[in-house]
Amino acid sequence: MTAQSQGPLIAREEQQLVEQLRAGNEDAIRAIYARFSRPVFSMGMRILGSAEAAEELTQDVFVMAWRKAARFDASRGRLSTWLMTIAHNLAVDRLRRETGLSRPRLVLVEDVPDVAIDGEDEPFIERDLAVRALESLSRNDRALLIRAYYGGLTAREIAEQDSIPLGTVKTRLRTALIKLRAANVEKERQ
Amino acid sequence: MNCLAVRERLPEHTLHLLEEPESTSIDRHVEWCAACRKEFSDFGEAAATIPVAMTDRAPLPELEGRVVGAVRSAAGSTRPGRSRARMAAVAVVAAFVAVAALGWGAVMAGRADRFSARAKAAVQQQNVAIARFESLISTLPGTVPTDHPRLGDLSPTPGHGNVATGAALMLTNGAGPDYAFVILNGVQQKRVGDLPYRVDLEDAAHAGVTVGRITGLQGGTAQLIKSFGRDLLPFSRVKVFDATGKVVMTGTIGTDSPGSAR
Repeated sequence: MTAQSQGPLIAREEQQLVEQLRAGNEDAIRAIYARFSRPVFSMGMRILGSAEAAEELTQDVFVMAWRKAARFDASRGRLSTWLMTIAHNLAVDRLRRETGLSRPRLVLVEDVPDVAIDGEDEPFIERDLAVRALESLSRNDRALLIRAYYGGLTAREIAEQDSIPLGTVKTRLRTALIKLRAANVEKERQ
Repeated sequence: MNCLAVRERLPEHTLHLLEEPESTSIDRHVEWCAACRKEFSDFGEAAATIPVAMTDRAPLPELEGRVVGAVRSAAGSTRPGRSRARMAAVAVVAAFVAVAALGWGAVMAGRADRFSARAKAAVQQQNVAIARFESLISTLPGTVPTDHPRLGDLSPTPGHGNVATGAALMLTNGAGPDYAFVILNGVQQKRVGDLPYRVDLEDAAHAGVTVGRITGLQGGTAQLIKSFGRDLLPFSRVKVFDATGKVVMTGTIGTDSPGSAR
């Protein structure tokens, strides 16, 4: 059974894994890579737009995770959250640095993929949970979040593009995040 | 920036859409505000669902070896976590806490009478405080500045009784945020009614900035830490005000800190 098929780790396991990562333990690095390289790489493809840049991002994320390992506290958040936050920060920073834009401009909005990833032999349970949580949002809310997350559109820009009040967009963004968080908690309980 | 303003911006901040200096202001706020930090954490967890759900690509198999090699190479060349600068800052704070816990006179007395019960108890108390500050410093973002550590003790203002002992420390540099630490010890229970205390820094022209407010005590002790986006070098005076606005403690922060790691 691969590491991806084992479902979410409990907090204690995540803490141990990151402590081993901090020590440079190869098994720990490979275990974390097996779980999270695909979402990081996919994010890199969406935001940075090339396989080469996405590979560099993936490598940078793991080195950064090692550097910041001492700060990881499993009691305050999931490992996936921590890694995805590092990845999104690095991707957005890189895009800003390379394009000179203050925010990412690449908009690659697709619906939630429901097909198996190439080379994925077994289901990635953490992804299945995330997919179900994301799909629990209305199509509009989901699209809004994805436009902001991958497209770098601010609330003001979305409001202008869609000709709706800024306050409405801000409220919808907030509500969508709250719903997504609640759906996460609910799916994990099931 | 207050909680209301921060919370209005948290969704966009979570999605890395805000620009400087707004972004840094929010980071500083959530660093110290537990309620906003919780909401930010919840939003971060929600946002992280997006890339996990939208995973549809797999990197080439050979990337794994490169990543493992890069991390092992980094791990082999340096140890993460405590940089020299951070350790230096911890040492400075250790010296600071020693002073704050005992007062200058007690420190000197402790040297002369190191085996006394008082010295032992003080050292124990000091070690607990050092661990607390060390832990606090390890959470500070970026490099902790140690270019100009400045230390001073706080004394009760004449006419206001023996309010407490205390000390203040500033860690400043030219590049990143500056930090101010203030600690009060031995605040008597009868003084609780005087809370909240407000702690200000003052420059030579009597212009002030507020480090924070002390609203509660733990075992007669209170501590404040605040990062400033501005240069704290001009500030050398510390004032502690009680709830009625009276100055109950003052102190002067020196140009260098005794016991500093430098």
